[in-house]
Formats: sequence, C-alpha cells, structure tokens
Amino acid sequence: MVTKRTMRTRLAGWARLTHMYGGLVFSSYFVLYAVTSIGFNHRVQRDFPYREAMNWAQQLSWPDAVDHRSRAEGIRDQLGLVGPIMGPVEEAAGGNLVFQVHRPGVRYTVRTDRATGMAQIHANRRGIRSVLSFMHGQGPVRGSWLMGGWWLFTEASWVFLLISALSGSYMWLRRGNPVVRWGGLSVSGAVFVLVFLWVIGW
Amino acid sequence: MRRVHSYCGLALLFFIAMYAVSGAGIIHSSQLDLAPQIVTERVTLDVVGNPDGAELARYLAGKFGAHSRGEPTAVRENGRWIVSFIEPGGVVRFDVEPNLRSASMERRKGSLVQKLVALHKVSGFEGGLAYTAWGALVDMVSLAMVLFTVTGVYLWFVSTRDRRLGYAVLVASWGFTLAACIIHLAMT
Repeated sequence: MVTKRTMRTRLAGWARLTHMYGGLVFSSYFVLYAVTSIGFNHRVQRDFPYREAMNWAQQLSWPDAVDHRSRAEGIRDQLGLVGPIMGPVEEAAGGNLVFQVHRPGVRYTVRTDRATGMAQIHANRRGIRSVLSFMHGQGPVRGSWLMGGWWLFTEASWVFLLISALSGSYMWLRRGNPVVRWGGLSVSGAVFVLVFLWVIGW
Repeated sequence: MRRVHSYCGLALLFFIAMYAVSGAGIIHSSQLDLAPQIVTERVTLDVVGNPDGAELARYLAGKFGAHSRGEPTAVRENGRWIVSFIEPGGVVRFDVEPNLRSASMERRKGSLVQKLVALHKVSGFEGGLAYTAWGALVDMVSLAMVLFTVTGVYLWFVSTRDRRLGYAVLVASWGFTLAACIIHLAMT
C-alpha cells in the first residue's frame, strides 16, 4: 500500500531529478540567455556593424497569393532563403515588393522586378553578436533543420524554466520550518508583485 | 553551495517565471492578439497661463494620471500641442487645442499579456527610479542564470556517483549550442 508519505517521497525524488537533469540539459541555453540579456540591457547588441555585403540576382516566377506577406514568403522560399520576414513588406512601383529576411548573422533585402522576372538580393553579413541575439528567443522557422531544432530547444527551455521554478519551490517547501519556508516564498512573491506594479505604473 | 542556489532561486523565482511566460508570448506573438485596446475621449482642461511643453505635460500627467518612461514628449503642430506618454505596453496621447481649453485623449492600453511582453523587452536604466530598478533586476536575473548553472552543475557533481548520464547530457547540450553558433557563423 502506498502511503501519503511514500507518495511525497517519490514526488520529491522526481522533482529533484527533473530539476537536476533538466538543468543540465538547458545549462548552455541559460548561459546564452544570460550573456545576451546583459548585452540587450546594456545596449551592446543594438548596432550590428555590417561586416561584408553581397549582391546577386535570381530568376523568379511570380507566386499567386492573397496578400503581400504571403507572396513575399513564396518568393523567399523560391530564392532558397531561410528565416522570418521582418518588418513591413513594401510595395514599390510596378507592383514590385521590397522586404527583409533575417537569419542569424545575415540580413537579406529582396527587391523584385516583375518586368524581367528577377529578384535582386542584397545580403548584409553580421557577426557573432547578431547570431547570439537571434538565438536568444527564436520563433518557428521553416526550411532549416538547425533553426527548427533550435526553436524546439527554445520552446522546451521556457517550459523547463516553469517546471524548474515549481520543482525548486516544492523542494524548498519540504525542508525546515514551514512557517519560514512559506514566509520566504510569500515575501519573494510580494516583492515581485510590488516591483511589477511599480514599473508598469498601476 | 546549496544555500546559494536555493536562496538566490527563491529571491528571483517569480521574475524568472515571468521571463519564461513573457518569452513564450514573444515567440508566439503571431498567434496572440497583441493589438492594444484604443479608447479616445474628449476632455476639458483648466490650464492657467501659457505653459511650455514640459509644464503642459506635467499638468496632464497630474490631472489624468498618465505615466511615461522618462520625460513625455511634447511637440507643437499648427498651434496644437501633441503630448505623448509612453510606457511598456501602453501609450497615452493628448492632442491639445490651441486655446488649451480641451483635448482629445487617446489611450492605447495593453492587456496583462501585452504588458508582460512589453516588460520582457524593457532594457537600459534610464527613465526614472522604477526603470533603473528593473534594469538592475534584469542584470541580477541574468547573472543568476549563470550562478544557477554553475552551482547546479556543482551540486549534481557532488551528489551523484554515476555521472555518465549527466556528462552525456552536458556534452549534448553544450555541443548543440556551440554547433548552432558555429554553423550559423560559418553559413554567413
């Protein structure tokens, strides 16, 4: 028969294992997150110097799409470029499109020319800071196993952070004087709520 | 080491959880409705004298409870004053008549999720004491992530006899991250 005490001991064991091995799995992401966050906070990564620029032209067949953004996505896929379309998709003269595709370390500017059926691509190459910033919180990207894999890692990392917070709290509450333990957790929560309300101005 | 790990975790627990939730909100921003709620209303003013932009902004902030990160902007356009109060996840914009008797007040108010997403993106230390404190907290949370990693790896090392699984996990984690960095750089 499984008693309440046995259940709690098992739960504590699972919490410890999840906290410990999950922490090892995401240790590299947490360090990357920390380094890039400090960079963002101190505006280190704001201006990525252009290291090198490249231009080329590619043949294009005009895709059928309901709006400019979907058409731009079709063009991006035809050109073999990988990464999300950032910023607005602008309409130039003659129904042509101008848009940007961002990939870690590279920013492509695509200008279409419907009359000649060509696309002009301008690639600005950036450095390690751009790569790290992109990796800080990358969303879903099609067409690249590496970026797809990193996106899954990113998704799993925020889920684990929450699990880690829960399992850590559980382990904290199991040891020592419950009044002190619950008191500490409550003070931590209260400080967060007060700072949060202070900053957002409520 | 365990105490450092525990107490540091306890102090920053809710901030870290907030960053996890708001980070998820940013990654999934295309699936979320992050358009702010816009409310416009006509308001009457009782301004005394002929204030400059900063004085008018102070008056509007006091009367309508508008907040701003740093000084609000006040711009003169065709005799009208356009005063904007901008803070994470919200904007209040006043279009003040040239006679200073009335104004159009537009409030762009974000939901709690929008506020969280906006706060996630707040960086730097300027804009008043609250933002300086928040900037310091961002640094503390970031440094804590490194501290958790170092102390966590140490605690795993000293509390585990068979470390083969842990080594494999660590190598896979760091190998994947370093490989991703190197491949991205090589592809550029």
